[in-house]
Order: sequence, then structure tokens, then C-alpha cells
Amino acid sequence: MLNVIISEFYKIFKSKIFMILSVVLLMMFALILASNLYYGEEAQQLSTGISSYQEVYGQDITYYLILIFVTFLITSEYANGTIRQMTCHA
Amino acid sequence: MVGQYIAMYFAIAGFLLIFGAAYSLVSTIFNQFGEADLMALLGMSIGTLCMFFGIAGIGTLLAYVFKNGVASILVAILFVLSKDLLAYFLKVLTQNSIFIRYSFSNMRSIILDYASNPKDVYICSGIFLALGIITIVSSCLLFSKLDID
Repeated sequence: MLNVIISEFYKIFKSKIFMILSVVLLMMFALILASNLYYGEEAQQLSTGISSYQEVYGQDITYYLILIFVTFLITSEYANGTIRQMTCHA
Repeated sequence: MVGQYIAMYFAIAGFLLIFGAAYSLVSTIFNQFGEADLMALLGMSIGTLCMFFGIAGIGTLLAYVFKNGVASILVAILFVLSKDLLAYFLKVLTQNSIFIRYSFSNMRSIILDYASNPKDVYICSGIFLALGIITIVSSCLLFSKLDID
């Protein structure tokens, strides 16, 4: 089981969607950082560390990211034929 | 298949938690961390992980039902857009407000709100966890029936 999980991790880290998601999240983070730096104290006074933590997961974007990541990974196995090989092997 | 789900869940949960922690750190550096009850913070974190588990389960089920990337992603987007609409529709149909109370948006608000009753937070977390387990079992059954047969 552990070998299966490790191989799945390898597949995930090598997948395109992982790279795309990394870039999207990095860009979002850069935008937040830039807006904090640009708007100065006015914007910074509005949020604390905890409220920011709530804010991140309180948006629908979290749902979209999870759903897109999961569906893309599984359906790519159908598209590549990996799942057929697994089924035949089993 | 379960191994794949475990790996996917840990990857996405790790990813989002790192992003949330980094965002929180930026706000803490520029302003302050704020005050919060440790138990409430713990409940919120557990609830968030359960929420990821449930949503990942729904994604898995959609992927095994449609088996097509574009179709699954479109249905997933539609699902997120219409999640409250469905709850309101069920409320009108049954005249019972429980569907509004346990709609996705409301459960997320309960989990992420520090002022929420801890019991409600754990109930909502349990619902998300149960949703994840049900969808994974359904996906396994679907895969064994449709693909292996």
C-alpha cells in the first residue's frame, strides 16, 4: 500500500495540473503580497493573521481548485490509458 | 484506487494549508496575528481538513462518473455555482430548513467562524467526512462495476 501511495505521489508531482496549480497559487500569493505593500497601512489594518486564514478558505476558489485538481488527475488516467492497464493487470 | 485518493488528498491539503499559512504569515508580519481560542483554532483546522476530504471525494466521484476531463470539470464548476440553489430548491420542496442549515456554504461558514458553537463545528466536519467516505466507496463500486466488468 505504501508503495502505491509513493508511486501516486510521484505521478502527482510530475503532472501538469500540479505545475499549473502551483503557478496559480504562487501568483495569488504574489498579488496579495503586492496589494499589501502597495496599499500600505490602510489595507493592513483591516486584516489580522487569523482573519486572513479564514478568508482564504472562505472563498469558492478553494472548492474549484480541489475539484479541478482531482478530476483532472483521475480523468487523465482514462485519457492516457493507465487505468485500462491497471484493470487488465488486476 | 484508495492509494491514489490518499495521495491526492494529502497533496491538495498540503498545498492549500501551505498557501493559507503563507497568507496568514503575510498578514501577521504586516499587522498582527490576532486573538483566538486555541480550541476554536483546532476545531477550525480539523473542519477545514474534513472539508477538503469531502470536496475531494465529490471530485473523485464526478471523475469516475463522466470519465472525461472537460465534462467533469464543467459539472464540478456547475456544482459549485449551484450548491446553494439546490439547497433552496430542496427547502421549498420539503418545507424543511435543514437543507439550508447544512448547505455547503453554511457548513463552511460554521466551520470557519470562531464564534460558532464547537458542537456545530464537529457536526459539520463529520458531515464532510461522511460525504468523503460515501463518495469514495461509491467511486470504488462504480469503477468495479463499469470499468472492470
